[in-house]
Amino acid sequence: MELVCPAGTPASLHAAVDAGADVVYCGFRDATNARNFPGLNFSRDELRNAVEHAHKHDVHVYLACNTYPQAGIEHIWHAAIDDAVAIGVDAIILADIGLLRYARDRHPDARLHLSVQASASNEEAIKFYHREFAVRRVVLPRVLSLEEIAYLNSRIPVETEVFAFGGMCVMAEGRCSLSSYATGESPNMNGVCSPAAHVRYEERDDMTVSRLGDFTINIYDQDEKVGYPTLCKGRFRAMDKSGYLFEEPTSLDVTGMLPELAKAGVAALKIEGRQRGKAYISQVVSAFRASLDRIAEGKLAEQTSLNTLSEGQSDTTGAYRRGWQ
Amino acid sequence: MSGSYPSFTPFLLASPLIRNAPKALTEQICRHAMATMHRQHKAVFERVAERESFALLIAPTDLDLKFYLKIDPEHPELRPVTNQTPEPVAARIFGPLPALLELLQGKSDGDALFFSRTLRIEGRTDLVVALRNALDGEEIDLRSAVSNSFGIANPVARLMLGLAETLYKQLQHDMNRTAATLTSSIEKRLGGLEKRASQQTEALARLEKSVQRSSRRTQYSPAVSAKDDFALPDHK
Repeated sequence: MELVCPAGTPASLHAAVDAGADVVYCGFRDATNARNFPGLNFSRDELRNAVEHAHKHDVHVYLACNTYPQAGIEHIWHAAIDDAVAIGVDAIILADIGLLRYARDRHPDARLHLSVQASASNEEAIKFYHREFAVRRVVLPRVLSLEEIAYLNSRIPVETEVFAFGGMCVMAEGRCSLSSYATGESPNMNGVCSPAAHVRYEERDDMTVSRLGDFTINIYDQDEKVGYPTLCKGRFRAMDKSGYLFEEPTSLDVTGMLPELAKAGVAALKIEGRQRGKAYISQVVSAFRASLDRIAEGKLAEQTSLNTLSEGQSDTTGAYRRGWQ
Repeated sequence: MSGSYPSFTPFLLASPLIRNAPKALTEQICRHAMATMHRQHKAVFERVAERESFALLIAPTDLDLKFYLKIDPEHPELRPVTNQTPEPVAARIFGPLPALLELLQGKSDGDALFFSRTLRIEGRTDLVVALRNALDGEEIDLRSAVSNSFGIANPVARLMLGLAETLYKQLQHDMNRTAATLTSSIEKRLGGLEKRASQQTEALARLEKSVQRSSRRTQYSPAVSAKDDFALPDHK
């Protein structure tokens, strides 16, 4: 299985290459990708140098252009696709059908991948994207079980890529409006979920209060781990009880089920975290590289000890193994 | 943060020395550090202050000293501040000096430090995130930067820094052991108390459920309900 790793800066891309990535995915420094954080992402020149560096080490580079264009300024997204092709990236990750059509018509030789933001989770949807836009790979939403992934792989004519490590989403990828409700900006349109400009942390005695816009998202006791305040991972009070109503702040880690994912026909494993630092990327990519190499040698992969890096500092296998059912 | 305890690192032991160091010397070191940083990593300042210049307060929790950091593409500034002269800043960053230095060099993950509460942030989160991202995009090597400052004495400085790092690690190890010894009896007692509290919480939850069940039986018993709703009036 191909190891697809994140990079938010050129230094992170170098770290991913050094740590054993097969592919590094990144985005331009604007709203065309779903990690549009301040100080993050690549200029055109930086991406050109990054691609050159990666290719020297036999590592591929994918460009994420996976937000939905806003009416009247589609040219920003079109320019991202044109420039990515001119720079020589190995694939473009897209979600919007208008952009897929644009890329297919303007750059028929470009390899197109379907972003998780498109939420294609069934056979007919995936076949539609393949038939209409010649999509060669689909990044599956994090709602599918291992059995469903194996079934899909036996029925569809494209490769599948699944999330292997990192922050979880509330599993309404490409359709979630929670961030927009709280801040007016969303991952789908602006490329950023819960933008940092709307985030505040306040110290109250021994407690830390996290806020997003006008909403209090969580109040942490002194001995609790802190998280980034997204509405989906907020702790709220309902019916006289307080708790994580939507989702707990925990991270995905599938190290223990890599052989099963390979057997299910998965072509690539994606590590989440373009917004994270190069120390995170080095550690996570190295751990997964070692696990995949062990499996390739016919040995069992050991469970990683990466949970100190994850939000909530705990991990889950998410929907792949639905332990709650 | 006024009520929190200082971080237990070797820098804490050096606090009296640092606190009583001549102000002019501390200011000179800060000026030199910032000039070196600006010369060698100008991209950080350009990237992060793309939209606006801003100031931060950096507060190492193991030093009796705070720093005023102004991020400006052309005229950045780093200087010590005293509690008596608070200045308006966009955000404040609190954390032990070793963690802050590792973060500066991209050796630690900022999010992980933050999730574990090693670092704390107040104020404009977006500016802190932008600075973190810009710093992470550079290859910053403090040891080289410091030893290069000594010019032709660079090899000697490098050797001294190596020795200082070894000493620092030994000291940190010893301090951790001392802290563990001092707190072990309290931790044991706390562990026992937590266990008892947990058992009592469970017992209370069981009791609560049992009361709820019994209350439901009393209120919604079909027999009682049927009698109330459908029994004929008693004309006797």
